[in-house]
Amino acid sequence: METAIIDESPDKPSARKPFLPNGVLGMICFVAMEIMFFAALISAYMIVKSGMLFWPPPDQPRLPVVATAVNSLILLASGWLLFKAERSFRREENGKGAYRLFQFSITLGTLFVLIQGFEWVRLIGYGVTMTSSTYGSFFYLIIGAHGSHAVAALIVMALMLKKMKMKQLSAVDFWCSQIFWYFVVGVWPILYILVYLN
Amino acid sequence: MKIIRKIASFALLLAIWAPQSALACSVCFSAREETRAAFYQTTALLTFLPLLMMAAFIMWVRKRMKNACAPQGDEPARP
Repeated sequence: METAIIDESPDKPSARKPFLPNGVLGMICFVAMEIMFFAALISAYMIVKSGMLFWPPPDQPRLPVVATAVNSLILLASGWLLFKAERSFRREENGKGAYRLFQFSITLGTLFVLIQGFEWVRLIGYGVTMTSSTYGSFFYLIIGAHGSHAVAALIVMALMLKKMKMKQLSAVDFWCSQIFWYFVVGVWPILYILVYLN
Repeated sequence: MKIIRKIASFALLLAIWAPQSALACSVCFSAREETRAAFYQTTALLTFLPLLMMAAFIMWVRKRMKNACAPQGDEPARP
């Protein structure tokens, strides 16, 4: 008669998966900090704006509301494509569908940054600069902070895309880059409404 | 010593009665009602936003724990 030997040694560490990967937890903490950073910028903007009789100041050119609305849709589409890419990645790890969707998402994100850059060049040409007025200072500070986050997130996502192509991308790495991009996409409509529409 | 105490008491009385309403608060760059409202709104935003984020995180973790305990469906879970 055969007997099964079960190793019940208390010294042996259990092979349990972590409940929440450290990378993801770290990224959540980082994004929470970034949310507070943007909340502080928004607060300063609201207080300064409330003290002005006319906002935007009459001598300053108006911001491109329609062009930026279209650009906002591009950014939102990028976020949606990333969501679809993640769904596809979960179904078939390192599959072609996920790669294509991820590629499209990064392309749209890059397009958003390029259009923003083009608008900035035009605004500087019209005389809206960091030193032209409080209006210009806040515009470049808030929108510039968002733009720098978008560029950083795009660099991270490009690295993840390269890893995905080489079939070395782990689900945790992909998840972390997603959280960062969702933050960039999610904070944009709030900034657009506050800075462009008010 | 007694004289010093008397002078100090007199100075304290002056300090209590002398000042008029002081305009040294941070909203003095603009005494408009909108600025006061903006201060209240932003104070509320910066106070409650971290609490909301913590509550959302705890709720998400709880949901994740529930899903981890429940039997797995067709769709593979996140790592």
